[in-house]
Amino acid sequence: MSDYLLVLIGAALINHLCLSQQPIPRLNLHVHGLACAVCIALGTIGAQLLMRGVLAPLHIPDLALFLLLPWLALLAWGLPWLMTKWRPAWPVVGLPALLSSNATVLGLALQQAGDDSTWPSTLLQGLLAGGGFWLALVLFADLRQRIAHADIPGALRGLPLELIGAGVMAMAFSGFNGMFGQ
Amino acid sequence: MISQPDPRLRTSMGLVLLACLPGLLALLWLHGWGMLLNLLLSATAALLCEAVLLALRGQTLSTALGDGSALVTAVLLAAALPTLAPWWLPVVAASVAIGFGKQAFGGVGRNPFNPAMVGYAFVLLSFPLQMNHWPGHPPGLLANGSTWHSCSAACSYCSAT
Repeated sequence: MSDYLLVLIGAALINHLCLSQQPIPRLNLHVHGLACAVCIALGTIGAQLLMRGVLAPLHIPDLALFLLLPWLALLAWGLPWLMTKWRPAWPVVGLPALLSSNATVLGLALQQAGDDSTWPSTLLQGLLAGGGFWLALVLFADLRQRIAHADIPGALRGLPLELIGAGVMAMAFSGFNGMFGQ
Repeated sequence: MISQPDPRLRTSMGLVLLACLPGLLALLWLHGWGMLLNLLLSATAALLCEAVLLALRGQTLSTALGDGSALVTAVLLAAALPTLAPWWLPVVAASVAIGFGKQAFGGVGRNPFNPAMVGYAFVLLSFPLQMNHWPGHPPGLLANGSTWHSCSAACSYCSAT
């Protein structure tokens, strides 16, 4: 479980780093977080459906990747399109690329979902992973905002300090180790 | 850049130190002299580290050293670290606390994380074995024969490892 947590944090850090070349508006961040959360939740649930409904009856679990990757790509391209339909004001430029690069997160989520877990736990795991990703993304944005002032030593300004902050945050999160009884 | 430490900061740090005193005395009573040694080591390391980093950053030493915040970090670390820890544990903890917890983020009041807890988490993750060197039963300063014996056994164990 704590591995799962660290994967989420790491993915959020990387996403945040590619997202924020310059200070980004909060709306952009929240749109990205929401899209990723929905993507992770839907991806996990849909993957479980595909595994149980298509791959297991046909006895072709080896072909899982060939079926799941198109599904994830479909999500990555479809979600921003749906979001523009729903809220035309939201900025979704560049979102598909970031969402499809999130396939690493989804791949790990699938591995977890590939175990013999029950339906409610799969659903819960997908939703919680999505929410956790969003939360971690906002957390990094807040950290970046707090360390953007003039008193930082010159050599550490910008990215180095952000990485140090992320490391400290990871140390804090490792306090969750063993909390989930596994 | 202010030349004098903020008097309010100095007062509040003094109050924090004063508030820590009863707890430290209780720790000394229960767990013996190791706490004082830890305090001495971590305070020395914290002040030294702060001075070196301030000099590297080109700031005046007396301003930041005089406000007592490094001392508060050292006291919190000494209260949190095990009393039978090897000597380098408080030194490493205090250096990491001041270096990565405070000065890297720009000094007093700029740090998003508590420096003492950054140092504590660092040594807890890096040296989990040494972080368990608490005396089994608190013999402290009231030790009678049998409990003192177990404490000295623990001490010899910790110096042997």
